[in-house]
Amino acid sequence: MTDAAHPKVNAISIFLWLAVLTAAEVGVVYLHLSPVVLAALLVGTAVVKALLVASYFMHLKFEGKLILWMVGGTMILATFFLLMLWPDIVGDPWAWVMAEG
Amino acid sequence: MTQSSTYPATPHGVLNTGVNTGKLGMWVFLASEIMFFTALIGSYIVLRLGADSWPVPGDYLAVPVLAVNTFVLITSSVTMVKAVQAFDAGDNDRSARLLLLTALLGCVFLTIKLWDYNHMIHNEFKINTNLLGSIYYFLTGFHGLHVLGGVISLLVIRSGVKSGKLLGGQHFRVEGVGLYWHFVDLIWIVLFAILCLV
Repeated sequence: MTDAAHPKVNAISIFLWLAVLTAAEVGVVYLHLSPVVLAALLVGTAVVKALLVASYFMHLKFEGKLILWMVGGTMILATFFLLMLWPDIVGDPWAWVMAEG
Repeated sequence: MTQSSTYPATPHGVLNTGVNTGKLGMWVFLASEIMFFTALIGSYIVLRLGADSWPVPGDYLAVPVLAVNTFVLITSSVTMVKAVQAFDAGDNDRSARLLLLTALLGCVFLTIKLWDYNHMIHNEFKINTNLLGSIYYFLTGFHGLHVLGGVISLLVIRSGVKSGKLLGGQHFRVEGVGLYWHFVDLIWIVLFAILCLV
């Protein structure tokens, strides 16, 4: 798809979705849910909101393969980067190997 | 082989990929920005999950004020979309007005952010108070600098649109600033959820 082929986005409806989801995020905080459930709900909602902005406001939904592959590749790299932090989060993952050796 | 035969550019900088070179460049820049903020957010995750205890954000942060700021930023994304649409339609005056409104909303966001910092510092919540303070000021500070850069870009591109120097064939310049502005909005959406609410 070329640059000029972007369909007109209904920005107001996307805005309303974002506004409702933001209000829901703030409301959920006052429900005194368990930290894990709260974190899952808030991160999930934030991902949905981010996808709405990227898909419609940034036109990713209507972009060609080149840009989609570039953004997709970056997201894979970013996810890989975060996964590689796991040892720093849980401590030394090879400690038990060293202890047995 | 000459450069022109290697890169058969068509009018307005569109290569045979079908993508405007400036737009491609903006996406490469945004890809680097994704990795930049991933590194910052990764630092936060390591600190947060590695800490024995973590302060409750609501005890320190003015969550309702930050929620209002979120509404301000998503509203500015709507005005940005409308500005690009008006420019595409050849209505430079309307586009310039909407770009100015977007920049003003960005200034409102920054003003509320500064008020928020001032309010928190008066309540003895500083960058060295605890880990939440360090990571909050660090992440939102970098985001604020990005918003400031966006406001300056909006004002520069607005002057081009207003004076008529930017015409329909230079569509990407307005869209490019728009892409950056929406990205700044997207980053705040993530930061608001993981820093201020979780």
